[in-house]
Amino acid sequence: MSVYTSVVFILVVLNVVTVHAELTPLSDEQLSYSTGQAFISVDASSYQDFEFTKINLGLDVELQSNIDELRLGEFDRTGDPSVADESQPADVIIRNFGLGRVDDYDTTNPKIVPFIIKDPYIELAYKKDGAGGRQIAGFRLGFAQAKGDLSGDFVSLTGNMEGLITGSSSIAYDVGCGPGGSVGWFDCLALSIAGDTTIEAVAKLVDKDTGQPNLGGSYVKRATWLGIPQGESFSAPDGGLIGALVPTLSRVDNCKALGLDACFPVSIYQSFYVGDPGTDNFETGSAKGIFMSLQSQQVPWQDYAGSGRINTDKGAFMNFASYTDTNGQKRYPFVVDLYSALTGTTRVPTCIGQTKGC
Amino acid sequence: MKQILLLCCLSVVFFQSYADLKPLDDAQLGAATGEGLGLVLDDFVFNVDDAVTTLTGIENSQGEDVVVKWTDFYIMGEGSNKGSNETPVDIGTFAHPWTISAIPGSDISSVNDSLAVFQVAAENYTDPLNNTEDYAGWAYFQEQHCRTSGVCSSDPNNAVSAIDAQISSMTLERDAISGKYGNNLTGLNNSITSDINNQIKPQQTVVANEQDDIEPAYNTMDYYWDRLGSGARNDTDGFGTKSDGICAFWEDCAYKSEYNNAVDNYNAQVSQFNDAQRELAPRWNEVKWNNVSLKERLTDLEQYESLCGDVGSTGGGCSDGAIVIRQAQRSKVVDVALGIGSGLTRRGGIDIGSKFEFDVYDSTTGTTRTDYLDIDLSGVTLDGSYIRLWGSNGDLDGEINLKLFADSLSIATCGPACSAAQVQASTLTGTNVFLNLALGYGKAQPLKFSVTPDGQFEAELPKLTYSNHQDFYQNAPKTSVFIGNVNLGGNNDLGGLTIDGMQFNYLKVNSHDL
Amino acid sequence: MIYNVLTMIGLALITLSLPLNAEMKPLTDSALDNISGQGGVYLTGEFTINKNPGPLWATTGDRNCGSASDPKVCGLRFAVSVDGGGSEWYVLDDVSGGMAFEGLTLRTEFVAQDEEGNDFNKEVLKVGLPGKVKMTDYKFTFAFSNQGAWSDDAGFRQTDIFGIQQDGDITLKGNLIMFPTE
Repeated sequence: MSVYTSVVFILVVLNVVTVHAELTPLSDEQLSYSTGQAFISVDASSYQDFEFTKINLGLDVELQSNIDELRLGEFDRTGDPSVADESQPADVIIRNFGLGRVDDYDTTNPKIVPFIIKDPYIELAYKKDGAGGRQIAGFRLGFAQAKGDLSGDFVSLTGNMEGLITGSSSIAYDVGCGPGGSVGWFDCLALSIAGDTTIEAVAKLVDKDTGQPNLGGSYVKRATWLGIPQGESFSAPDGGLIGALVPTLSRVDNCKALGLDACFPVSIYQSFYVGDPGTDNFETGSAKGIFMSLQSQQVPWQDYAGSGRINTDKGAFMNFASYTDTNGQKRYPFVVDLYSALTGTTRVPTCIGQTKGC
Repeated sequence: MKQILLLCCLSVVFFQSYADLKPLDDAQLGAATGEGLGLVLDDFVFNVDDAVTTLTGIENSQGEDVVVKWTDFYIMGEGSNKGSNETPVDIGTFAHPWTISAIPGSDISSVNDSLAVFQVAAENYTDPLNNTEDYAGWAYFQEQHCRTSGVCSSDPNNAVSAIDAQISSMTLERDAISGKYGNNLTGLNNSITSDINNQIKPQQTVVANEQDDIEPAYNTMDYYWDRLGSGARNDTDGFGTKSDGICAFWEDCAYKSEYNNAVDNYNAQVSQFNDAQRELAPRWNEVKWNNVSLKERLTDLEQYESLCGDVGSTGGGCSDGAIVIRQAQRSKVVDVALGIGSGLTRRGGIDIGSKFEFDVYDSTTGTTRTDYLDIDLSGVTLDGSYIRLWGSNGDLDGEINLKLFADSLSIATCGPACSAAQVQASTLTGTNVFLNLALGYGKAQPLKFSVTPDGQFEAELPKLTYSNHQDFYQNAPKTSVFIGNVNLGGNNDLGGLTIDGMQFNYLKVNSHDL
Repeated sequence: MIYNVLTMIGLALITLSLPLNAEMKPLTDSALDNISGQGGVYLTGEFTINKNPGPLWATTGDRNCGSASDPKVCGLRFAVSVDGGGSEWYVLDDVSGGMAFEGLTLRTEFVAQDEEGNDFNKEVLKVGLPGKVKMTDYKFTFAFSNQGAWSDDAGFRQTDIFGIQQDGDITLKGNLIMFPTE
């Protein structure tokens, strides 16, 4: 193609656009037909020495994706007393991180079930230096609502991950008092009396050695274990006589309760369901207040799923915490049944033709 | 002389074609054989600093306008010190130009069709030192070496040591798994398939059937609860519990027995479901082969295959998987290290930056404040990037591959009233920043974008199908983001950030009004 | 912003055609002998869009691009459809303002070798950028619409996504070089 033709081509293209303007008579009501976009908005707030700027994106996102490796906050934490596992090089390490799942993955007709996110936002936190200047203290990416399968080989986690473990005490009996079980006779008796009572407990990231969710005055960093924190116990929400006994019988000490392990390596959980798997209704079944953030210092982020602040330290932070729904009920972003809590969850397939690693 | 005549003719030709505007039809486009236009910007400087630019159209949650002043935007050469020294840059060269072209779809493996593809592409470099993707790989492992071993010297071979260490640890892991099963991975694979077919799937069907029984039982219970007489209702502890008191003859006891039967039935269905689940769950742990549970075997096999590729295919070496990928990358890392070691330098990049001022209404204090955002990228190279567009059934489909490497990305939030020291202390700097954004893969998963007159847009990467999946998993490029190190004010290190190998089997984004 | 640059270059090239077209007559050899210089063209221009209202919207009564209390005449409207003129239009609306520059050069050059010493042997078109471009109240609004033309039909919809307003000097230096590739 010669030089002239190329240049003509460009100029023709640039001129084509003008042809579409047509002459038609106009009326006074034009303004009502033209409005501004409303899918991006910017808000500002402040708290103590901090100022926040939030960019809201009005987006509905459905995705089914895989990430080979996600690493956040990879820096030296030597000497930091709140580190749970010092061998971990980063605050968050997740391999084969999958969102959503693929049903019938090994057939010729796989069905992709996406993870759904509504209204993501980006927020910047600034710290005022008291002399008229300000510096970036942190950055976060959050979702107003989210629902779906979340999978991964969780190697190191930092942040607020609250899962509800719920199940029948008879499962604890089966696992702990059945063949291969290691629960003592007294506890087995208590469990057999409890029968089918529903018991539940909240699991958090803990330090393996002490079973504590806090170390050195702050939440654990680079945790590799998840469990029911030291001193807490199962509760029986339905109450009754057995319900009153359950907390006493099941107090967690040294990562054990009712003779069973109460803390587990996060790697045994390969998939979680974020939100309520029992309903297809996004509004009622989605988890709120989820975000991932990076801070250069302590930052008190606003809790958009509640009313307080979430205090974070330097480094990376993943917030999958409990929230209060519109009925005033406390809800957890992921719920694990007791059997899966004791033995781990298998990974849901996130690829076509294979479960992971595509 | 001749040239002036040529220019006159050029404009005549232009004027004539102005009168004959019609879009090029398919036959004409079909004749385009991939030729295009090469573009070079030579000694280029672009700087908006003396002009005041305002961006309108952004609002806050209350619907009030947020005034955004775009006070600076520059594109200059590397070394411009965030746009303050006017340094010219070459974007594209005669040997490596940017191009705008029409390519036959059959020349692009992901499209593989006779349609015409419109492509805007950045320059292409094949030598690893200048090829952005290869160089970024070297920079990533150079940072890795610094982090894992503490040795942060500028010896370019540090990157080779780091990638070697990673390959060796992956190989050890693979060998450990293989050794655990006596190197009989085919046997392992077969045992898992057989156990899943014989032990897991049948019980999963039972669980699903029991689960299906629950909803009708619940609905029946709900039906009778709604009709339950007040007297009977008072003898319950709420919905789902039986009416177990004595309902006197003067009270309304309608549907009491139907309701109680429904509660019993519902509880029975839930109990059967729980039993079925309790039968299924232990099988993952109790079904064993060579004393290893099914769950553990499956985890081990998946880990082996992600490192080494499909078990079924070869004996011995790895057909695919992470080890093979790293080995291929190693040769590029070695080439870059050799290049740097022999004194070669990378071409200079582009410096790009923008400054914004926003007036935002602070809802906590009730006043307006001014936010400043100063974003500067230094030493940017974009070679290997492209956008491809083609038409399909009246839609515009596309493929985007953006490869951007920057020596540094800095974000400063202190305004013009700040002293130099305050600005320095408040600047967040990321070094060795690499973004490899891949959206869309030919016909298997084109990027679709559409807008509505209500001001909303929709972007989609359609669901991957069975027939496309192998080609897609083997050949479609993945998205990666890597920042070597982030520090605040030069001394507060926040470490690195890595998102490696992101790929979408499906993505759909719709905007809506907030 | 890059969009802005390309629009300016495109518009500048359109401007190029007009003055030449007004004076089309063959140059005799003796006239050509009197022209000295590089064998290119040196341009100075000012390009203003809708500085005075045009035929489409002559007054703010026809269409008002300001507000009820501060009415403004509207600028130019460009609309592009990617689905063959259906209902999906990308619009540059209310484009108005001025651009002035001095020193845009246009010439062709023969380049024998590229920077790496390989044979190139092509004639290239070299546009010398003017150094400074003065923007005077230049503005436009980017919008989505369901029709190409602005209209008062009940079904017409347009949503403005963002707008740019610019006033002052922009530095634009260097050369834009174009040539065919195979």
